[in-house]
Amino acid sequence: MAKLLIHGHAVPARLSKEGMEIEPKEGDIEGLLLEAVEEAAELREVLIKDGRLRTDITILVNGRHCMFLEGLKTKVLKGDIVEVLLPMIGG
Amino acid sequence: MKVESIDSDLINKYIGGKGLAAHYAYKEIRGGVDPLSPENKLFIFNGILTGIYPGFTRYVVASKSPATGIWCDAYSGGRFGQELARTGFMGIIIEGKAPTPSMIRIDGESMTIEGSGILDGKNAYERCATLKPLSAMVIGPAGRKMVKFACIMNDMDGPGRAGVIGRGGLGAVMGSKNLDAVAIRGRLRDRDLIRQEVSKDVSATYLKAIKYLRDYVVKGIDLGGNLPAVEMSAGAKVLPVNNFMAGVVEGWERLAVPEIRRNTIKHHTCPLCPLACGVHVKADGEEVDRIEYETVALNGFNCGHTDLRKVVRICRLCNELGLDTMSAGVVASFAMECTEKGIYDFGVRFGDYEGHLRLIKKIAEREGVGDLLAEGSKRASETVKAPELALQVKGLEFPGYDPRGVVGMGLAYATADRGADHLRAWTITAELKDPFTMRGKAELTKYLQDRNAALWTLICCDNIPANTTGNPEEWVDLCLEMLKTVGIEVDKAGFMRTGERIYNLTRLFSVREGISRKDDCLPAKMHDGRPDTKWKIERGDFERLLDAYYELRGWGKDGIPTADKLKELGIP
Repeated sequence: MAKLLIHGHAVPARLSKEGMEIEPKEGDIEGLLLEAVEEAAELREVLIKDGRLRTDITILVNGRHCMFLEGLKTKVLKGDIVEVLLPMIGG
Repeated sequence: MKVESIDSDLINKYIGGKGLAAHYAYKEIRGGVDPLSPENKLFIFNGILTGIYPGFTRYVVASKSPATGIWCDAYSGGRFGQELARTGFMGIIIEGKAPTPSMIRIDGESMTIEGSGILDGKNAYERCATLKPLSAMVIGPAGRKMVKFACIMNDMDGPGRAGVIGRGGLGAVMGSKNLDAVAIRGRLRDRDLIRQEVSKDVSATYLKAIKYLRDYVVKGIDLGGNLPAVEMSAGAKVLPVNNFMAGVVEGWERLAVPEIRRNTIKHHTCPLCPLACGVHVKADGEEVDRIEYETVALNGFNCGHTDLRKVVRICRLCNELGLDTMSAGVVASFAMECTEKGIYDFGVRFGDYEGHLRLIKKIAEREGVGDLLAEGSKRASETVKAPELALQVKGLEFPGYDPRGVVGMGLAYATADRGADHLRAWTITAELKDPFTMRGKAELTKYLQDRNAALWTLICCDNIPANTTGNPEEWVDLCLEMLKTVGIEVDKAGFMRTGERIYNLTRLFSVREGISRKDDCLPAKMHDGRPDTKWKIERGDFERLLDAYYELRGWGKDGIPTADKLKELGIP
């Protein structure tokens, strides 16, 4: 199983602390996140916009930004930790 | 004092504000001069829309920074920018050094340089109060002592929102010139700023601007001071905690919006603006007229405090003394970590409130260990041989967001033209065309840096594009409409090109001072796994991201603009 953690304001604390254990069936990040949405309906409004995965989120695999790997096509293996950071305002 | 006119060609090329300051600084400050010598110059400019439209009452101060030794521009709200527009001048250039402590007074038709004895022994608030009814930008005791992160403050005693030229130690440049204050009262009325023949167009566009601000920005501003960022940063685990050793801390809610709202006694606005972003707080007897996210994060969580009363007192003390609260917070947290790790005893540890207050006073007075810390965290860390504990880029201390995790902000900090800065490119919110690739990240950083350089030629309030709940590009389009009403017709591509030209010019200023790829880097701590999450930025990854950025910029692999790029932008 891989672990999915989601960090962001107004996200239930358990998703950031304990997270979800998910079988990485599709093999990549995109598949894992869509699978998570299927398993937990509450994630739909957190991760999906206009019917597809949001494009303003940050995704880390084992602490490393996925842009340095293969982006959404980065392979997810058993034991990996995938973390999603939601966007935020700043100044 | 002498009055100069500005060529219309220069206005076409650089429009105003940041652009003109960059042009004059590059032309008139010789490479290699000591930032605190009489040869350095201070450029104070407003924008071409200042005093006409809402969101346009700010001004810029630019110079060679004593903190970084490179280009620095900083912006401030309040009344001063509008009053500068009422003088009929586009800006003021300060050269040389007065023989004794002095101030500049522009009151109607009268312009004088006079002794500043009336300001002796007074803090920044008292100085502004003394100079009323004129609007004044002043330094505090830290500026006189040339603390490398001394700030310039304006309109500290109201009415309306105060403003701070915070970053880069430009207060020390004023101090080095024996200049305590610039106090102004314009001779023009507001309506004189608008040519009669375009007043109808201005009125129509003004209403559109107000509608955009009310529809989209009021909601985004929320309580004000960017304070909602506390909850968001805690949620995303990117708060600075104990000199960036963690990203969230138990009890962070005590410095979050509900608690600050409960202690808010007033809101302050800049002239013409409907956004009441100035948050005036009173907590258990401690009061400060203006508190913001950066101050709370960097002096609160980052120094081991989660008590609003303490943070309010620290903020007020920095304001009185004329210290940039951002750098002051990071310098203090550096001292705390050094002390806790037994590297150097600065006499203060995380959470030591009384020790923290004593340290701030020592820095402002350059007394004891304060003299070393007054040089900023980069130099202090080199002296105590702990450079890995200084959170800075090119000598400018970090803003209050940990870029481990949100790596795009790491690129933004490393390539910002004045050192570690989060506002030149806030990359965390935007919807990207290509969000999960290095090229997409580098493109976004470059785009925002160029767009904001262009917006800051107008000296648009950066709270607007940063906090809007609508599309920030709609605001940019509105800015172009506003420009048209004052006789400057430029399309979006031309506007962006102006921003790119300015960003390359400020880079050239710093290249002349020796800046290159070796300086576009992050502190060692960012490359180590953060103890709480193990997040880190791999050095190799960062270098690849930098390569993608340089390529998009048309700079060489050494980070220096190529001759072809400069020619393309019309930079001689």
